[in-house]
Amino acid sequence: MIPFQFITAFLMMAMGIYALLYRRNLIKLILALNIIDSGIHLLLISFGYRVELGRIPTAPIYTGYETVKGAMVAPLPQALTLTSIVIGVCVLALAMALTMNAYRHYGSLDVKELRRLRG
Amino acid sequence: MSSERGMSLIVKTTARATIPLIGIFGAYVVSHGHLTPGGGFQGGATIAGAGILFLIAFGFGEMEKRYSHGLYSALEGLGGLAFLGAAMLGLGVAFFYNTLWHNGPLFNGRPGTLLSAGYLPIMNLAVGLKVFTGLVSAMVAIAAYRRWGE
Repeated sequence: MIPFQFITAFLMMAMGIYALLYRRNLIKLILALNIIDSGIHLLLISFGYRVELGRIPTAPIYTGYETVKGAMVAPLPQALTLTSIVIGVCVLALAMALTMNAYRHYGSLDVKELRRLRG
Repeated sequence: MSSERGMSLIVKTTARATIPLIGIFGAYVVSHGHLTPGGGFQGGATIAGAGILFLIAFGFGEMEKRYSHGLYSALEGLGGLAFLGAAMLGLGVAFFYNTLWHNGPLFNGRPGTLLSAGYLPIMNLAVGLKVFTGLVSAMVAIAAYRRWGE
């Protein structure tokens, strides 16, 4: 039985790839990239979850840990996800800037019309 | 402040009240990055949210008067350099060696207190400064890109 987080994550990635293939608006393509990104983040984070019998899974933070005494989830996927979020923001900003320039030069956001290089 | 640009009076007054609160909360998140959830990127993005709220509530003209591109670029570079400098403090042993924590004069308190964790608070401050200035610069650049007809 596959856990439902993984199903959701792969569904998000599939939806993003579908939109990348079949949408024609550039802004929708950027949104599709971000949805793929979010699916990967969800997959990474849910890989770090940890269940021990009789102990509550807690965040891996030692401030106030004595009152909970839970089972800490894995902190490594969270660090990876933070780095990946930063890269996602960078890609989003750069793609939005390029899209604005493309609209300025072509007057359109349709990828079928952005074929020739124009001054 | 009677400029015709920007949003309505209610939005401006609310922004005037909330921008310092958002800034203080972001500074808290940055400075407690080694104790509580958060850190440089999250706190820097929070403070940049305050800057973007200023930009949206008061309009681009008001932001243009207060924003200096040279200053923000210099601060962004300074954040990166401070991160690199904190990483090179323990270069006698290894790169990224936390010499402030092992035998440093400061930031070597008991774990769990504010002045602990060696170079981590310095790095959080550097990353927070870099993220704040970078995001605000990006948003101002996008807001300045409005002359479609040329």
